[in-house]
Amino acid sequence: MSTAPDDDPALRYAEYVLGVLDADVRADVERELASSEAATTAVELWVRRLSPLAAEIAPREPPPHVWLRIRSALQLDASAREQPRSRRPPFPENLRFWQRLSLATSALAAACIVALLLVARHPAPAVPYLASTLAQTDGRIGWTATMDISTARLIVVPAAPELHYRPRAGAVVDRQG
Amino acid sequence: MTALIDDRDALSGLLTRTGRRDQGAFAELYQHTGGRLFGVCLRMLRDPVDAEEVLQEVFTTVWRRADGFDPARANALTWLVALTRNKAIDRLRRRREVLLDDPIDLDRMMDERPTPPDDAEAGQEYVRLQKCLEALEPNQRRSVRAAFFTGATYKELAARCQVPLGTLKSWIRRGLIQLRECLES
Repeated sequence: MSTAPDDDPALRYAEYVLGVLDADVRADVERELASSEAATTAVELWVRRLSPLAAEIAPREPPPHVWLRIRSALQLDASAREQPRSRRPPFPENLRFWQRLSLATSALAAACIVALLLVARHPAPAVPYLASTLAQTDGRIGWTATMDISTARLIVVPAAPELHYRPRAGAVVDRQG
Repeated sequence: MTALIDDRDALSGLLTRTGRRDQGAFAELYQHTGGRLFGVCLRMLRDPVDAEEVLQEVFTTVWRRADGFDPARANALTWLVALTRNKAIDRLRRRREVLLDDPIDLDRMMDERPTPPDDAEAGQEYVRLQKCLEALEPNQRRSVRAAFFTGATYKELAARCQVPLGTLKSWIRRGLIQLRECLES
């Protein structure tokens, strides 16, 4: 206990690694790290000292869509998947993903028959988005669904918005058309 | 996917190859470390959506910055854990609402080892750190551990542990100084 903690400037790097600094002080340390080799070395040393504590945290399986999003964000080839050995052509993989999502969509549009009319707007290497229409029971097109691969977002737009936004109608589909 | 290869040479090799834009190595790296790093995200952020987003950020950063990984200078898993904690802490700082009303009972909670790792698997570094932590005065040990696992600021920790800010800072700083001395001895 002989060292006075408040007089030890090197502790700032330990506090940075531990994560107790507020956003402003953290930003100060990061600016310093960008220009100072000594600061970088000090931080690396504290990372080596403290990081092993993470061994106490139990691993948890991330949901499969996380890897898909990472791959999409980086525009990686579809072959770099969870199962690297089962190599498949890129497009059918995207198709399967799309089909899974379309099932979720059909739950929202329960009264409709989902008709998958896949339109790939762009060829490989990167497929920015996929589009499809969702038919109503009478066969008319009820919605257009667009899958934005880069952000892994699905956008569903009614083909005739006035049918779906009548007072009190809410999300209920007008089945008579 | 949670199968862990803690063989540091293997992980180091995967990370190095990722730095050379090897997509297969990158996928394998995710398979072997994604579960462990997601565990870290969940533990610190305590929100699955945030945890998924931070894990995504971590791996996109890995892909872009793995060429800066120097196996002579760092252990691959340590490098990945540090990057993950850093991203999680940044995310915590951006959160508007601070979990000040989310109490931490230092006397009970923070001395637990929720999943005591197999010491052989966790490695020598963990065993040494654990010994040095055990040598600390209890309040120092508990507050350092609470800080590590929550990523909370001094101010948040003081509020959540219901101790004065100065007291908490002093516990943690003295704890860090003693840890440094112990680990260097």
